[in-house]
Amino acid sequence: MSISTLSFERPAEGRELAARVDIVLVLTTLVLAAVGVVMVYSATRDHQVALGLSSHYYLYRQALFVVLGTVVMVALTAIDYHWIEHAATVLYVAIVLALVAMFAIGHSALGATRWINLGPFQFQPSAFAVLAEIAVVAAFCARRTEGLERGDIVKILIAQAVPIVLVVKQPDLGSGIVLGVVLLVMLIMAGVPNRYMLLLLALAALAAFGMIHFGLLKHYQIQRLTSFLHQNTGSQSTTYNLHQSVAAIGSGGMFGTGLFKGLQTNLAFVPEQQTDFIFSAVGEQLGFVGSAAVLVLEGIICWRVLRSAQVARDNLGRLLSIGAFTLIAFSVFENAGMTMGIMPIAGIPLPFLSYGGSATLAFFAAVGLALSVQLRQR
Amino acid sequence: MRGVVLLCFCALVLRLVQLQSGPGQAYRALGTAETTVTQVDPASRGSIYDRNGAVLAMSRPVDVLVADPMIITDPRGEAAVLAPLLGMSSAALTAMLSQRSGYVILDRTLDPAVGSTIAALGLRGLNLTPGEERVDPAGTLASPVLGIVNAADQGAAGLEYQYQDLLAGRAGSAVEAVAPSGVPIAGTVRTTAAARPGTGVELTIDEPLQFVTEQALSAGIASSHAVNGIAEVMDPRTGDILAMASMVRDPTTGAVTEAPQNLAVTQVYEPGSVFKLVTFSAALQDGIITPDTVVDVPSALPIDGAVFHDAEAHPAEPLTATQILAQSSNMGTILIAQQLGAQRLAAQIHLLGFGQPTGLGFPGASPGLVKPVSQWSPTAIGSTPIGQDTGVTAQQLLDMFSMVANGGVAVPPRLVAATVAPGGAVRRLPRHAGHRVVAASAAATLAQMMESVATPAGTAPAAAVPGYTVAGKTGTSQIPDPATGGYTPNAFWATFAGFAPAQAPALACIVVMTQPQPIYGGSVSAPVFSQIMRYALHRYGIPAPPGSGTQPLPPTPGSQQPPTIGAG
Repeated sequence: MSISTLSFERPAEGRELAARVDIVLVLTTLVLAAVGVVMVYSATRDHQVALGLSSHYYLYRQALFVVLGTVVMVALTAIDYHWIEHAATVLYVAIVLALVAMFAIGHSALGATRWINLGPFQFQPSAFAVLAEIAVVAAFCARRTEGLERGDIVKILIAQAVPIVLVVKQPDLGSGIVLGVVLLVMLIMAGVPNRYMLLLLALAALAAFGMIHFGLLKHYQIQRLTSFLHQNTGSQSTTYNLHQSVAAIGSGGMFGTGLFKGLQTNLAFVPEQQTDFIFSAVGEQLGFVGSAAVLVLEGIICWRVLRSAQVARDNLGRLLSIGAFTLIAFSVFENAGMTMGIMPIAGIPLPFLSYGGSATLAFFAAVGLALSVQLRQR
Repeated sequence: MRGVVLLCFCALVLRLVQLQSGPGQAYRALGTAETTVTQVDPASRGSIYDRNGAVLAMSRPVDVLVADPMIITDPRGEAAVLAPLLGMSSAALTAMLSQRSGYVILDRTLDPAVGSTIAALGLRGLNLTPGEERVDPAGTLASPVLGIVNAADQGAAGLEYQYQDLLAGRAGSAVEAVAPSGVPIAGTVRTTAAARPGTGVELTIDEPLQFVTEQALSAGIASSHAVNGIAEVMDPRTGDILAMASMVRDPTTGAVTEAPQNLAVTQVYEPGSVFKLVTFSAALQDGIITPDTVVDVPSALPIDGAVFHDAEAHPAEPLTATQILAQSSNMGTILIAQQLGAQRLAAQIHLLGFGQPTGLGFPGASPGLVKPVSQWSPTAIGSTPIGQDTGVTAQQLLDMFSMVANGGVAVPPRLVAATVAPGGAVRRLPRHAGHRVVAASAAATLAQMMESVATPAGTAPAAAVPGYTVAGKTGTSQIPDPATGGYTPNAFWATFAGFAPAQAPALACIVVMTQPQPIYGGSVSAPVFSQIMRYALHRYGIPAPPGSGTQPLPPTPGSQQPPTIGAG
């Protein structure tokens, strides 16, 4: 990759392009991110005060992440997405190096080593691993316009197995699952021959079995993943978070208890409510109306990103948008589902709502890629 | 692809609906249960007053002091500080604070002032909860009537139970948010219901008369070695029960104390000769007899194989109806009853309220045991008129005497005259309306005939009250033995019931004793009746009818300003 190959639009063309941008997608994303900032504030304010810390700490940080994310989104929208054809290899190598470096210089929190300290911020490579995966798989498959051969599939699987295993080893099971799901969907959409389809699914099952069998997954991870299947029999330690979350959402009723007035969430009965369990705060404080609205906004984003895949000019654009779509849609379904006890509990953030810089940037970047594809449609 | 995504979103929204709409009520309850705690603000219990406003039962605020030895690190040190405040020995307290328990009640009735002192000490593992203690300023006086309040401050017997809803008031509640650690969060208390203090009740009982009644009955039981005894005084014109005593005698120590239950309404017994009033009231009402009607009383009266006698053997003799009543002739009464017939007799028993609730509604009160006439045995026309075969309570008998005293109009008895609102406002309860049972002339004639009972010619001269005429009737009945189906040998109930002054009745009274020695109502119960009535007639300033006697009134203590009867 070299800078000279990046194709910037000329100013006149830029204005023309700007007029064609999917304003629904942009606005929905920004509104949802704003809701996220408020909800993160609500979920952290009282706890921060109780600890004698600034009540605005998380508010300011998440607002900053949203601003940075918007910048990233605008930048990616402005740039023709074809730079990815050239940058894919670099991105891949960079992310693998970052993940390997994690074991040497990583910062631990909650029993996992997922972050690299960068001054006042932590950088979470696994959040960007999915973006790298989308870029690499899209770039690779875009060149195989006639469909994927067996050799291609093997290459992709081996190449992507490296970051997946590294991520799961951190352990960051949630990101590993997202990587796997996005890879699977992209391969299918890239045109895996039907005869390999079953093989692919069998391989996925085998990988899951192998992870469990060879101790790659800890016992507690399996318990947590399966706790939603036996909510009333599991031990308190595995179902506590789930029960608290479900009780909080149930307490919301039609209109919720009011912003900043959720006993379950504002009094910190629900752990991790500013990150993975932010939806419980929405459910309790804003009720059915608020949480359904959040789901509708997420749904609109998914729909518009998927639409960008449909109008994409070429295979690269289509696969990039498919990847972005899969990342966002799966995250929404998995995260909201888990807080309501119908999906396994895994550390997957709710797009644009959960607190966290790396995840916020990654989701904005995904939307940016889709917008770039949409702008340069046929 | 789009289909799958749409399905997923639908699943999310459906789950959201499930959690947050109707079916999600359980989750809401779970959430509320976890994040809030409901504090109960106890309502103070209403007091019970006598007819003059004297307090018979009241509640005073106390603190309940509970220790949690699990978190007490220095039991000896804390015991040393607490011992003088609680009036306990330091050693005993140390032992209590060292128990392997998380809940040890140190004092259930702690003075709130002492409680505040202890709270200010800031000792570890002590918990003070406000509560109430029921105290009876008059001691055990009338306790079978008042009943019991249990440790949970709930009426468990007697009037305390009967009027629980009224007396208890309604506890208030406050909801407070708690942190995940269970610690209440300051400033989040939200009162959901204010405590409403209980309403007091004012009884018809007259405390001084109650005292005299219990004293007289106790003395009677003690001297006759009875198992227990009942004495009751009533205003026949209003139905107000002025005194209601039930005492038992401890067979080993001989001590006489208030009975655990209100025997006047719970003890069902065969009344014996007092029940002859049923036959006489019906016969006078129907004009079958007059006081002077002569009946030829045989020396023995066979009915369907059974032979009836009088208490004392005598040859066949003619007796007037008045003499039959005064001497309590069984055969004379049976002969009159036979003229009435079983149907008429049964109807009169029903009319007089036997076999039915008295209307007091007292907890555990018995309606008595009355056989329907269809189930009467062939000998029942002999046994029923003389007070066998029928189970009654002392209250029911007194009601019958009151009816006669009140000129044939029965007024249902009552124990509660008024309610006293927490602010002190007294609301008088309407008196029960009376209903006529026998003609005024029949009642007056019967009362006149009953006067001879309390004379030397009758069965109960000891019932006489100096200066007054007394109308009454004795009863001495055998106690059934459930084991044999017959009667217990040498075991009797002795009853005397009556009213005074006989011509202008103001007070009715009954005295019943179980297994006294001597056995006769005229010997053991009548003197108690006399004692109670002497005091009561004087207390209420009932004038003696002119020319009814020359003896001066006996002195009674504390009656300078006797309350007017019926003022309640």
